[in-house]
Amino acid sequence: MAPKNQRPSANSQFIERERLLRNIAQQIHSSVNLPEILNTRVQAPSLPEFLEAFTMMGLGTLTLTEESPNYWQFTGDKLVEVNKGSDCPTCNYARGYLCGAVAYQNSVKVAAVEMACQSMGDHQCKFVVQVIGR
Amino acid sequence: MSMPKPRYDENENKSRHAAADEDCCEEIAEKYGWQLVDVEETGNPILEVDCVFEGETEFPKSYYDTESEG
Repeated sequence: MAPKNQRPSANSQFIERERLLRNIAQQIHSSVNLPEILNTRVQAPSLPEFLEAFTMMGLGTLTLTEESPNYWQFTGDKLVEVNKGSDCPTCNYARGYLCGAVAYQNSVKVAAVEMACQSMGDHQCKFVVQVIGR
Repeated sequence: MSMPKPRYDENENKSRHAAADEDCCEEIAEKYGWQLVDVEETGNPILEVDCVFEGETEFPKSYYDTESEG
């Protein structure tokens, strides 16, 4: 059986590796600012880009018409869910999409209502998104 | 709910469908038997490319669509 001092134990090997990794991490951190690099490389979609993507998918046009810290208003035109002659708003996919886009952009919990809908004969669909929590 | 509408260009007889990347375009072409003629960058970070197909292409009606839903 080999003496203990000739071969490092598994625990001491682990500690040594951890020390090396910590040193490498410190060197990286001191030479570059990682969050800044990530910010420039990872392009998070903006609200207008979310709206543009909706149109690009052929699902109709969504437009931001009013914005405040806790409240957003959008109009919709020729949305794919419009079903003329309906007696209630029908654009639930668009409503959910807007909730998701606003919540993602602002890291908040939101709820949305479709206030007017082309399915009911209104000139445009109209959505209100409101913050309900953070 | 009707299906998404393609952007069809009558002059060049091509349809455009936005997608996440070029692989998605090839997948769409294979699945629907459409001829993919080009892939264009959109500048949008969500749907980064436009798949350009020959002719007027339209997704088939959804399995869930019924006549009563119009």
